[in-house]
Amino acid sequence: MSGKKRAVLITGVAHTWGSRLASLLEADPEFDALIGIDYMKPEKPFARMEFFQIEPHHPLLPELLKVTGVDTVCHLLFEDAYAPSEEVFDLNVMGTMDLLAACGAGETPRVVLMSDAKVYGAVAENPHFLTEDTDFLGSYRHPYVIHRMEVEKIADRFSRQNPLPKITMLRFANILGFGVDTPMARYLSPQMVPTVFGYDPMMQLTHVKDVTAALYHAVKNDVPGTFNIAGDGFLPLCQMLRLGKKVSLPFGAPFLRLGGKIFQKTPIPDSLPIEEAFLKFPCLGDTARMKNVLGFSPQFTTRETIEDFLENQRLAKYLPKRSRSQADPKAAEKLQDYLMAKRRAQDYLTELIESFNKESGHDQ
Amino acid sequence: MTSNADAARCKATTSKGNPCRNRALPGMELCSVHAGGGRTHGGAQSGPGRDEIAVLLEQILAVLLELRAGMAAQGQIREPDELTRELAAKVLAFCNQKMEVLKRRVDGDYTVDKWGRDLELMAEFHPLASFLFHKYWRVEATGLENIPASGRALLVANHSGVVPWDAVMIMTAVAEREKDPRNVRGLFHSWAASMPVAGLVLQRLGHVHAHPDNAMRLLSEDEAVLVFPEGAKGVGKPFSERYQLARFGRGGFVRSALRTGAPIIPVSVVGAEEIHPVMANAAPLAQLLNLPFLPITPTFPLLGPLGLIPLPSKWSIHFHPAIDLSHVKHGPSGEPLLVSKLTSEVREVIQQGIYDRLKKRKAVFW
Repeated sequence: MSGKKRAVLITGVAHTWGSRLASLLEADPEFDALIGIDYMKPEKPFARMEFFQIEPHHPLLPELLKVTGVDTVCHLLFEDAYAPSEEVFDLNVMGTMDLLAACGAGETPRVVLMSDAKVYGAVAENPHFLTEDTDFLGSYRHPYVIHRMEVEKIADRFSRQNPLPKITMLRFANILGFGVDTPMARYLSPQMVPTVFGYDPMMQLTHVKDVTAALYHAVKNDVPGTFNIAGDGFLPLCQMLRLGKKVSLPFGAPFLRLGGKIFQKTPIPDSLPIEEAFLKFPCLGDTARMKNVLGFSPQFTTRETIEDFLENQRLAKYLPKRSRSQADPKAAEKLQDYLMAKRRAQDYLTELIESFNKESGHDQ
Repeated sequence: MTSNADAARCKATTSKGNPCRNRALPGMELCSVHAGGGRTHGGAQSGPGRDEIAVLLEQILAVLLELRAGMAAQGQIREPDELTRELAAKVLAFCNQKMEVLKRRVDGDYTVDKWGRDLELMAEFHPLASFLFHKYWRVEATGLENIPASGRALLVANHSGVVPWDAVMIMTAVAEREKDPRNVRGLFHSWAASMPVAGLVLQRLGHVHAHPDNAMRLLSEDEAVLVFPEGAKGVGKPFSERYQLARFGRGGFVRSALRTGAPIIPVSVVGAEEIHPVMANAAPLAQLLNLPFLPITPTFPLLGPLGLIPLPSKWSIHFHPAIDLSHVKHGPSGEPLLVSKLTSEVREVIQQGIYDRLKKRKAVFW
């Protein structure tokens, strides 16, 4: 697609991944027209992206896609829910369905979707490394996994029935990065972490920077298909906890399962943000296709990801609550200009008064 | 006797005005408390509670010292000789080294490979495996040269003996051979992976869950893989059917070898059938506990956990010459037939190897 100006629509630009991808795409001159949609207002205005505060269900979306000639839609409007919620289901699952329908009607050639490696499930019968065409096994409780599975099913059915748009599905392994709210970050944040007694599964992590890099790579290059995305290398769960000097609390699996079920009904449904199955058995994606077909190589390994997270977590304790970096660096200049203008105005005023006084004195 | 004891008492008085009941130090009129500086019990500086404990400790120490002096006089205590001192130093060094390892591991400073194998833990476990191999079962391993020094190989063995010690012994045999020792990856059934602790320990010691994808991936990574096609049917078979091979699964192991071009090395194990003679299988209870089988042996569950100690039978393991599959040509439709033919061929080689060894075996335990 080189040489040709491109038009991209991103959903969920007021959310984590949408806003991060938007700022990457805005810096790339290859992307000419950028349109962002979300149901809520973004925190800060975009440099050149056109923003519409609409939901994916909006009836005018197909027309918008057609008129602007969007070649790639990147659907990132997804919220991680820890307790069943009809509202979030409507946003995550029905939103994807309507968006795919709109892309079909709007003749969009390509859609990039984000998914989670947890859809494969963690069961003892699975092979140690999961290729992209492994069947989904296991049944889950957390909506953020169930909704991803639903989305996968919808996308699979849609691509079998419609030749266009072609779908690029990225299945990310546990996403981790300090300050970004993901299930893995919630699980690893406390100093005491619940684990399952007698199990220590191998784990795979993806750094938040690699998530945006992979999305950017998928939007920029036209590679349809499904890909596992994860950092290189694997670490046992207990070793990750030991690296952070965290205390693991081993519970018997049935107790942990029961505890999770009970807590899900309470106001703190995320007390166990990762289900006990993923703390018992490995759920490791085979990333050969990511490297060979998609041509993407992550910047951070699994070990670097966890170390980066732990370092930032340690440092966060000593940082002031309101960071100085939040202040606008251009504010000083602006302030100076403002003061100069004020001074000039005052000078002008005193001059005026003086001259008036002089005149009136002259009159006397 | 009484007067003698009274004479040995301390001559000082306590702060309460009572005579001190401590024994006097040898050759002195005062006890160890009063001898130094003439302090009284329950002095103003420290609380009475603490002082009493101090007195008690001093008394115990005094008694012990007296006892030791008495024993030394009668020649009951010898100074530790060279041997004891050496042993103590060795034990201390061993404990220190283990503590170092433990400290490092608690800090998370260890490496586990992508299959979950921990070479350091394997090295820690090796002395036990070595003891069982050389001293307990006195394993006679033959045909070790049939395993290539490097590159892929699929070891196929008969399974027996309830607790899969045969896997450990085969792995030890290859890991301890004089020329080109190598680590073999054993494959285990998925129900073991779903068990707490057991699955984890197996994984850390280099075993991998027996899934065709795993076997194929290991072989294409040029690993030596050990597989027991009989599976749970082999380990749980009754004693009356010992050394009769059970069904060889569905021939999945042959398919993995065919697709990766790995040579198949049949392995015959004799002796493992006798370590836990299975008299009956408590199938309903096994179903309740979600186990593939629950054997009843002469010692288990009669002796409880002690019944898990295997009997010291004499073992022999023979590695047969490799069956090369890299030149086998077949069409896409020819594979199933080839698989079933090769499966029965391998089964025949192992069975014949067992019979050959049983013919020569004069006794079970020596």
